[in-house]
Amino acid sequence: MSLKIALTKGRVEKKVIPLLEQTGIDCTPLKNKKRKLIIRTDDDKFEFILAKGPDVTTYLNAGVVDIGIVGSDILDEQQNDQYELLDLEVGKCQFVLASTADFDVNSPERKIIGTKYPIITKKYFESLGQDVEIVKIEGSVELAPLIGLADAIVDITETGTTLKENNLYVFDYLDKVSTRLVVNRMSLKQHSAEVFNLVDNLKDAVSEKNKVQGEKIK
Amino acid sequence: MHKINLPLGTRAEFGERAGRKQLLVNELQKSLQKRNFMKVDTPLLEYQEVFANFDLKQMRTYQLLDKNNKTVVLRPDLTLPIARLLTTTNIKLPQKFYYVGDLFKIAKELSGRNNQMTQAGIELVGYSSLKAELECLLLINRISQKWLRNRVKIEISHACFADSLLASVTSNNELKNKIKHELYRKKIPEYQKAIKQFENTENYPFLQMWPRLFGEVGDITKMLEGIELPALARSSLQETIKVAKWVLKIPNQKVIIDLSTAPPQRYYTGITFKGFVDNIPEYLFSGGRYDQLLESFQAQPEPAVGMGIDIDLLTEIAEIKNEKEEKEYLFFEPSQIEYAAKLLLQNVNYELSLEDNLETAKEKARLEKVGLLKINKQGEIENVVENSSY
Repeated sequence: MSLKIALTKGRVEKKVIPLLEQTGIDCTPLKNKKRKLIIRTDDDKFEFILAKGPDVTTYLNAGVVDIGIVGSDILDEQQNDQYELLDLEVGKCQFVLASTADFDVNSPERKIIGTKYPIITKKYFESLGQDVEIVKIEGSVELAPLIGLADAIVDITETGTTLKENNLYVFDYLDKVSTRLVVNRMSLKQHSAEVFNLVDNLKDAVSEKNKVQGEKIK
Repeated sequence: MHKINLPLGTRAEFGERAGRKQLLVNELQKSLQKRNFMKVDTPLLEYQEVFANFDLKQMRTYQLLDKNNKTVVLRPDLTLPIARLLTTTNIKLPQKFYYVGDLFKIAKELSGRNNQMTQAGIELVGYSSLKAELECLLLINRISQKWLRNRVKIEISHACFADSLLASVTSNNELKNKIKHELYRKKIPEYQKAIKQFENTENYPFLQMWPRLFGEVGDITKMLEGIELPALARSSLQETIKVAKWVLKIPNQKVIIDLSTAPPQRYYTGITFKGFVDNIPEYLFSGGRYDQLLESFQAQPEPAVGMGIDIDLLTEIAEIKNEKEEKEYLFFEPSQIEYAAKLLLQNVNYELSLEDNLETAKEKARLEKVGLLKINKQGEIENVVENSSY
């Protein structure tokens, strides 16, 4: 039996492959995948399914994969209720409230907020005691305050470069984001030894990576 | 134009699937009636207050207003209406009940989940000994044997274990709830943060291993070796192990213990249990003891144990042996109705042939490899097509 892992393709995939290799998994088929979306490791222990982030949680909820590797932004937005066993500490970024220089977060009028993450945005403004109108945007969220679609945006940023280049300023920092390993509830019961083995190995790989990075900084 | 699409989350059942479901339900009901369970049918609509104790886990209920503007809901659970029924009638207790019916929960839109589900279940009210739990577990075992090739694994837990353990860790209720919340949803990074402040206490080794405290009886006992649990938690653990060991004595029954899982509902007060089949992503059975539930309906508390069976899932995965089809078509003319009536009464395997003429009836019977009989002028049966399926 092989463990089925839905891996978010793109940036997450690139950052996670070195960690998987560190645990001893031969990722050559994954690296040479070409256009294939389902990739089995040569020892048949793992089957990787490459998917978009929001679909990883859909697959997990339907029980068609055992494990998902996906950003915590998506897990929070989708109100994930599967088991989140490990923070892989890659793909780190942060939710921010950003807008043009003239934005006033404390102004009394009902604000319009553009975002890809309506649930996280709603929760954040509720914590401030503010009722806002949320406009769902699928991409290039930074545009919204620039073209007058929204008063501000809630989005994730890694370095803040895109915001700066578009003359946007950060007004508040919300939750931090990183890549997580999530397990389907029933899979954990049914394949606990295999799942915990992978989790423990990845945990060691993350510690090792942090140690090496710490030494480089010194 | 009439709207012809179904509302999201609903589906029609027909053909083979509907037949399989009916067969399972009939067999289950027959076996429960033989064992003196009383059938209960409660209405689909109940006042919202009936479900105050029910945790919908991110789902919502269908709500509507009655003529007095009071909110009524399509029932999301079948145990609470029975508790309501018992407090409003004089049904003599102890009593064993069973039910089969539909419940409604609104799942996340476009998630592919159904909002209408069929559940069967038993409720044993007025029984305080663990024999009531064993009655439920034996039913799981019989279903497992009959339709699932003994593949069901039973998971035993205790609704009080987490609370009784956390009581000895901290008196801060907010923190207790936070730890329990993160433990139950196994959000380990958050759980680790919540327990970090106990790093230098004697409870820390246990707190660290807690999310992984599930598995076979021997494994759990081994993991807990050398760990001193508070008296109440120890007693919940001992009861859990005792029941698990009894279940292991049932032939072909696999069992695990889980001390890190949330009870299926808030109203459970003792042993809880679930049943699942490997590689099936949902639980098939779920239940437990709920001794205080009737009290929340302003009645005397009554010891009780209940269990629900997901009939939709059972329908999907049950292996039902195909009974050999022995039917024969009976061709008749409308004027021969008195003979047809007599013959149908005599033999349940006769099915009326509704074809317009004998030739078409013959063609159909040959195609289906089924025998065809016709009624002759004297009212007697004549063989027209032999049954070639056997």
